[in-house]
Amino acid sequence: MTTTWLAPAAVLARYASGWDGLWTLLYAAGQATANLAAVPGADDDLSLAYAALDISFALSELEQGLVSFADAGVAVDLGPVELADRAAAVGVVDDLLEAAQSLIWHLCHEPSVGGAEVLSATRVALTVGSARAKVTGGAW
Amino acid sequence: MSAPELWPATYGDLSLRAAMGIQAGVSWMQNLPLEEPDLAQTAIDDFRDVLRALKEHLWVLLEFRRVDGILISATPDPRELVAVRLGEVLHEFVGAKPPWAWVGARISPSPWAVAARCVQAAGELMATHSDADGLPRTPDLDAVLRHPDSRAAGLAQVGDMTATLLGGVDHLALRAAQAGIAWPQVRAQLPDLSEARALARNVAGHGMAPTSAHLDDLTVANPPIRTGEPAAQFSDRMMRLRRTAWREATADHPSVETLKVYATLGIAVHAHALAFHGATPATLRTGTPLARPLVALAGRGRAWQGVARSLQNLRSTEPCEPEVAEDFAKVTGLLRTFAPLTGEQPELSSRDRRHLGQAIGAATAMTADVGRWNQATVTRMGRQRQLYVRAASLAGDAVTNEDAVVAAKLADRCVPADAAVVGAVNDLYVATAPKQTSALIGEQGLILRAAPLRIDNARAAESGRDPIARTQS
Repeated sequence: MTTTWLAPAAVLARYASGWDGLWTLLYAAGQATANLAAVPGADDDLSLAYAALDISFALSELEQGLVSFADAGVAVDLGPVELADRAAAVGVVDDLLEAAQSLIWHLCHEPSVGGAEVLSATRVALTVGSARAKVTGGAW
Repeated sequence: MSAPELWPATYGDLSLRAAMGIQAGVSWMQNLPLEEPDLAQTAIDDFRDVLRALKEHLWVLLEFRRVDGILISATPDPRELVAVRLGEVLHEFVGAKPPWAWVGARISPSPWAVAARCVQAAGELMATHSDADGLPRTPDLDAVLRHPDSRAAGLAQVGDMTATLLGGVDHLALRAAQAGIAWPQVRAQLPDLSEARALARNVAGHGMAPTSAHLDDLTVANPPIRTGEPAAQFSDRMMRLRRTAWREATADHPSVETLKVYATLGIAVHAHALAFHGATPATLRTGTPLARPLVALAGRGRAWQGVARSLQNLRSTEPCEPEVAEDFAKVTGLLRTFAPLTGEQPELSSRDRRHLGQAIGAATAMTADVGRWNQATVTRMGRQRQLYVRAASLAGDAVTNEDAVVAAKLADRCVPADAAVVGAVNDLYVATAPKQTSALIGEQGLILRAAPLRIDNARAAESGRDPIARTQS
């Protein structure tokens, strides 16, 4: 996992920009969460399944007006993971989501952004925050 | 102090209150002094109101559009045929209520008036399940209200109430005359109703009247969510999720996000149901043998996991239905308190445990319905090209046949999901519901519609055999 998830996730978090970059971060985080949730024993309390749903909601919200539905961002799947790497994988997902939240904050403060876009981005940020709380176990 | 939470009335509640009202009305009419003609006239008016309500309820149960078919059918249901005749006889007696009848009308407090209102309310409860064209607004219209068993039970109840009420008509006439209403006037308002009584007895049938638990438990189409009691809230929200899943199956623009919520709900309901019975995920991994019902439960939970996984890469232009997301969040929150997946299970009294067990059992049954309707939704979305997938996520052999898909993969764009992808999701849905015997599945997918056995008389006559003769061995 160290070689297959950490490096590409770090690149994504560092270079993602604009609404399309936000979409890419969330798509990668969603796929990674779903991949981890599918590992037997990795999601006993279903927190990862709920987090994957939250991230899907965030992507859907983005696609309602902030990005083009047909060709937003770049679809990145970090690939499979093993149970032994669960803690590290959760850390990667959390890093991707944190980068997404940070990017939303920057995007909302750009002068060209309108009120409706700010509100939509805020809804995305809230959903991403909810997903982070679930992934890291802070939700319950 | 907050007001006590109202529980929505069920069809069974209203029927019971109507029966109690008829009984109390008979007692009221027999025992109270009707010296005043006005009081006697009120009793007659309320008596006629109950009969009118019962007559209108008969038509609701029979459905007007079916009446001609019942009358010309070669093999009608005997109870329905007599019910049509009873409706006609009662109509000759009480007529229809004019639309302006409510103007200046007083609300009578008599038990018969209460019974009439309960019968009317039962009809209105049923009416909430269909729209103005008679098309279903909920899955319960076909599965419950139009089910032959429910119809028979409803008609038998109405027949029973009508026969009981008509049993007191002569006594009411006598009391009215004693109170000072002239005999001709009494007879004009309370004529000989022996034919109606005989028909009502036939509609009720002999022996124990048929009953239908599904009909008795039926409530209005969209009852409010009870938020005071956790198990009640859980059941109400699950019911609403079930209704929305049914509605989505025929919606013009359903959302794959909604389907993802239902798939996660299916996982959660089954995981918590297993935990409720002592089989938490950690226990399952130890390989402890499970009871047969729990094995089936675990299998369906895994099937929902497969569905959730297969939906992960699918996208649609519509966002998730907000009500579904809200109900899902509440339901999963409640499930975590009822039967946590990790840690200690809560200590429950035997009564609470039974109550919760019923609620969770009903929820797993509902997910089976949800799975069938979600499968229909996916099929429709696939046919109408409303399901999309990022071409980048498609395997190489899935993109070589079409130039447009190859171009989309290179440019990392969305393409409509092809039949193979939709078919794979469909196959996974099949395992989310318990297997049903095909004989129990009717045209509507839910109802047993056993056609009467038809004997081909012409062919039997040609063969020179009695159509029901046994073969001599």
